Amino acid sequence: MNKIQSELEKIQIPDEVMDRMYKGIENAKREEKTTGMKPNSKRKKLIGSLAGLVAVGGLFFGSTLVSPAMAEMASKIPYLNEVFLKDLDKDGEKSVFALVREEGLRRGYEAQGLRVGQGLMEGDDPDKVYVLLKSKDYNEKTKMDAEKLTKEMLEKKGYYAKSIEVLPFKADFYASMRRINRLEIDQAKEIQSLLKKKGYSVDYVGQIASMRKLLVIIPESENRVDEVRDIVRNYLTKKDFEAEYPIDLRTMDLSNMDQDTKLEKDLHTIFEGLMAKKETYKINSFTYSTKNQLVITIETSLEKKDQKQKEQIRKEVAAQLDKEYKKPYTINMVGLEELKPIGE
Amino acid sequence: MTLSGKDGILNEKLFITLFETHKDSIYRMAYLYVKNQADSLDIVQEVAYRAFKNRKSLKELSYFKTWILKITINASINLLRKKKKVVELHFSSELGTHQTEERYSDLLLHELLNTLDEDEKKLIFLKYYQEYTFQEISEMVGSPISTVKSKIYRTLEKIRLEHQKEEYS
Repeated sequence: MNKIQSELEKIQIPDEVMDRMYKGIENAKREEKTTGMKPNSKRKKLIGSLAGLVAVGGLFFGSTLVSPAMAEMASKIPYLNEVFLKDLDKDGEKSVFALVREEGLRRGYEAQGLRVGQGLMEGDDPDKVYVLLKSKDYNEKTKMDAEKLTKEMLEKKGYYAKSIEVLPFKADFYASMRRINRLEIDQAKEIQSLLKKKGYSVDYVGQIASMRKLLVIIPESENRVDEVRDIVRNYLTKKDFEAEYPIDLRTMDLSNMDQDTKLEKDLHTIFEGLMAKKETYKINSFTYSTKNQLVITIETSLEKKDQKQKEQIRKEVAAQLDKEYKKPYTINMVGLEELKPIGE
Repeated sequence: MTLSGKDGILNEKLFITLFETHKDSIYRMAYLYVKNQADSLDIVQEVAYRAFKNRKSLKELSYFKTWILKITINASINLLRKKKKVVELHFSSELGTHQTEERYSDLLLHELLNTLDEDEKKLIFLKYYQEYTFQEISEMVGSPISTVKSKIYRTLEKIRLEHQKEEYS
């Protein structure tokens, strides 16, 4: 036995260890029971699917920046598909956030935001739904009540949240989410251009925030998969990502996409273009629905007086869309004045 | 060894047996990170939860140990992060430091627990407690062998220096 082994052996193993293991297994089993019901009944979906829901709900928390954009790729990927896309078409229905907000106001407190944890910043639990209450409305009683209310509303919609946390609204919390999103997109782009510079073909790099992993898609013709993986891993290590940060590397043939997927991919490209001009355009979220006709909703922090810029955004999106898309569509621009209050 | 069934290769009974076999490693690894019993036990529970939930992802029984240790590392880091955030955010006034750290008088253990960063702890644990080869560690953590080697040697040097410092101060 070496010295380090004998040192660590000094850490005594408490008797409860096996009890705690049983508890862990029990929790997992309980969850399996609630999530693993018949495939066609209105079964509860895992919380990851909320990413899509938040996007449709029109809530402009940072998370919405990424999820709809991610959805396009998701359609090609079996399990992500289920997670993201189902909720993008539900525009007739009220979002969980809207329901919580309405009922909360009736009960005397104002919910200002709801989002799914992304696990990207410290303490941000990807399994958690966060509800932010207006600071002055926040106390032990409203905290409990809002927690219960959110749980009910989630369940009503068929979602299952592992846990819910109610917090007072904090501007810096929101701001840091925004920063993280920015960072994510920059990093993904950097990886992509790094790979291209080294001569590899790569179709897509992006963070699937709600699943806490990096998704890399390369064409089937690119067979240096391991090399690509090494480069990405190296990059992440350099950027101080934890050593096990999951990389989901897939090869697929994107040129053979069906119509819907193609549209989604194009929308993503448009979205990225807008994001690149974030400083001027101040885009908060980009959501779309393809239910009857394509409806794109773009939320910005632009003020009323910036009407010109808004028109510019609309034109830019339309111009790109017209290149490929032959059906009618609508673009809604939502600015600061139309949004519900978020800060105080 | 490959078994199969609706649970993949791991049914509940087998899971429990394997977990029990490795419980000391799991607990000690967690302890190395969080340095107290209460949190280490929380991690054990979380590891059992995550591992059992994802048992189908284990493709071969021989990978069980590596697999469960990876889950342990992630769960430990997660917990550390959460704690940091809680303190930083809004509960700083409410959150006393109740957690009493177990007292181990031995200097070397003290250094392992307190002077190494998370990455160093992980590598030292895998190399000297679990006695994985550099190659295996490199695969587990996804860094090149050369990086793993140099980090481990640097860490050893750090422990050695700290140890001397403590002894002579």
